Amino acid sequence: MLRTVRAFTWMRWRVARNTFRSQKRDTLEQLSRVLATLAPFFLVLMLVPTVLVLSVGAWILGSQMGKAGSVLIHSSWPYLMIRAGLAIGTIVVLIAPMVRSSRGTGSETTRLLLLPIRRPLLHLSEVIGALSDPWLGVLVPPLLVFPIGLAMGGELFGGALALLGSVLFVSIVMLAVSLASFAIALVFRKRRRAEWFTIVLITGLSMSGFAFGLWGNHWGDDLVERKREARRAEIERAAEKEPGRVPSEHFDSAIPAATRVMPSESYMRLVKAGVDGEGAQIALELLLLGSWTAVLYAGSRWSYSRLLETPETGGGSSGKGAGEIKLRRVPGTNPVVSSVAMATMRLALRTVRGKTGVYLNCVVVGFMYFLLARGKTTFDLPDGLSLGMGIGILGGFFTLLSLQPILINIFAIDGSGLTLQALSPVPTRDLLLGKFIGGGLLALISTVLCFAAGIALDPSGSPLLWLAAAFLTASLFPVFAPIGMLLSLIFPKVADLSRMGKDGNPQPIAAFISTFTVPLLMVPPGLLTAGTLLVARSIPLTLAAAVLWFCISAGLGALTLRSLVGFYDRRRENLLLVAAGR
Amino acid sequence: MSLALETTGLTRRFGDLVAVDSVDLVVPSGSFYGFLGPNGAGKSTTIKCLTGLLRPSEGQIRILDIDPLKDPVAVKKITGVVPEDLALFDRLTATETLAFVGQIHGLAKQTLHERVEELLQIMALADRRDHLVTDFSHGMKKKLALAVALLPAPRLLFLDEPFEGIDAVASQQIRGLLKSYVERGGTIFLTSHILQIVETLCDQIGVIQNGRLVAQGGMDQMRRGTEDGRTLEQIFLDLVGAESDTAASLDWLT
Repeated sequence: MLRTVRAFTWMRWRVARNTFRSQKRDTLEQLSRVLATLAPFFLVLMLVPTVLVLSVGAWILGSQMGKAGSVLIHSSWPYLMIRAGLAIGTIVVLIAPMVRSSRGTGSETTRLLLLPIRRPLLHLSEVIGALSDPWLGVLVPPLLVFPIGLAMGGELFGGALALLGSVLFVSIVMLAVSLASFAIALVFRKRRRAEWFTIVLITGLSMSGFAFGLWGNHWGDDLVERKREARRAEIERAAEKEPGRVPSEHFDSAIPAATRVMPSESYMRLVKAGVDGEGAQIALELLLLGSWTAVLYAGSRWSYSRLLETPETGGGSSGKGAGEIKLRRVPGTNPVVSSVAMATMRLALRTVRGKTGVYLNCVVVGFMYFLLARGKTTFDLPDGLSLGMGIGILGGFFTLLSLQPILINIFAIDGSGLTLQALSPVPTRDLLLGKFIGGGLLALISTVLCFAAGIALDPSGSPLLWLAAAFLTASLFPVFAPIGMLLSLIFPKVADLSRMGKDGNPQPIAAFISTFTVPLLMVPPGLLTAGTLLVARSIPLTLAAAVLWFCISAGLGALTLRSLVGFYDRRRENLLLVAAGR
Repeated sequence: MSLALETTGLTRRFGDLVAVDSVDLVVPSGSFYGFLGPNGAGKSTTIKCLTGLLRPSEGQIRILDIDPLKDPVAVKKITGVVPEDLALFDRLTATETLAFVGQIHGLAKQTLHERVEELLQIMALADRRDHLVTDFSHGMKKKLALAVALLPAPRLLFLDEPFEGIDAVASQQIRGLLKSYVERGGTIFLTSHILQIVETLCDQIGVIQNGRLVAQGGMDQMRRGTEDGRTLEQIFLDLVGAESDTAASLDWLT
């Protein structure tokens, strides 16, 4: 067992170390890879203070509880906070495998399967591998330190029991994380199923915030406020009737009974029972935690076995056109530019990130409008403006943000297709222009959909200002696209746009720069049009300013694009290496 | 003798490593040139330099009387390539891939349609024409890559291991296709580890080892001066000095 763990640790270290080694890469690419590798490391480093604070807090709390006995547990709000924290932490670590790339897929699994390791041991090493999850890394140290504090505070039996509970709880979370990872990897075994899963997940995550706003409580609602008042009064009356009841019991009465079977709740009850010395309760909670461990272990083993035995399959025919050759041409371009542009657009729209980046923005801004409308928020908009215009402009802004994985990695996302373009008689100028137009078509579809949503929801306002809003939004892309191309050239990264998490993301440094660039690009046209509208108070002048800025940005875009031709040629070999996955 | 391809002192370095070292290739027009070498000898790097994927560190290249370093687009218009990594878009269908290449080469719609049909039939891909490349097997991808290379009717074909992963039936069909292409005046520059195929197809051979061209010439010329009946495999092994490696016995193997 130890030999296997040692071999795995050594293998992972060498893989990480070897990412920096390659004679065929140029200095810029080496730097890009080092930064990409170090970015998550720094993120983890930032978690260290959190872990330290939580661990010290857990130790102090444990020792105080050990000294004061169950009184502190019963009456303390920290006890309730820990319960809530553990419940939320468990949910977070379970969601994490869904949003990052799934483990245990592809050739790595096949390689592991060929090694002389028994499956239970292989499964166990994968489960233990869940500890590398940073969220779990945050959760584990405080859970292990807390029982020590309890024991040092004088509660030796309670401490020992809490330690047993901590070990069981951590095992449950690790097994649950593994089960979630394996189940998702199993879903990803079929390409089309994986893509649908990711689309649903991205849409679900994007909409979850709005769902709370639309269906949940919100501050301005009188009815909800009255309900809250009634509940507060009820609790106060209950406290007067039964002065012996403690805050945690009032809290318990307010949450659904089903939450009692949650491992985090069971763990906290075990700690409390250990300090109180309630034998029956201790046995019950240990039985519950043990059952969770057994059920999750069985589920995790089963899903891992299924994963190992399920081959990867594709998605069948695209079912379109039955082999018909459709040659669509972008108006005003030569066939080469048009082919590259259409291929760029078509390829992006066949990926999850492309689909959601193009089609989801209008839904998001539509939801935002409904939220504003439901809140009966009134805006004193200057004459001629409307919320619909705001929805359109906001949609354009979201479009650039959501298309980042494509626009700031526009060459490497082609994979081997980039080699095909390099082998074809495509002049660099045409290639860059084709990519620019392809990205532009994606942004155009999304922005037009957002403006259509704006018009459908609130068509009021001056038609001239609607036009100005359209020009203002359109002016963002010509400036952003060459910046995106520059980032694509400096920080290329192989990415599968149908995956969430790091496998589908652009290079983190490029994403960081780009995320700050997009809002900055809004500033000059925003100031210009706001100045003409609010200071000069002239709608025609506002339109003229928006058109002028659009022309300036188009000119800037054309100039920057031209200057990138030489840079592309210098970076081409390296780009091809990266895109081919070397 | 007109030359389809000629290199002088072709060199490519990666840091301290000299992957291709002063290679002088001479490929006559209308020939079937087999470029051989052990693993890591520099075959793929040479092909990448010739096809414009890598820029040579030193040396000159002339392809069909054009300098690809000066006018790469003109060379790409008259050459076809099946590279090592096959160079295909994962999320285009077979038909779309061919249409993309056809459009870039400026083929008329009718011509493109006819050629695509014929190529898909001959490569046995007609019933998978609407499937995304990502769902193809390796052999199917290889056949599609070959179709892509043939589509614009190039005058010179670069094929990097075209028969690897191809089934026997398809291999026979492709060999027939390539032979007739050469008979009609086309030139093929091929790398392969399957020496029996090279022996039956190629009339010109070049052997590279450790980045250096150790032999070059016609198949007959290669055989001249050797014992009668020697196969290409035996000649190749003699040239790359493989005998010394066979001495290792691995006597710990049961």
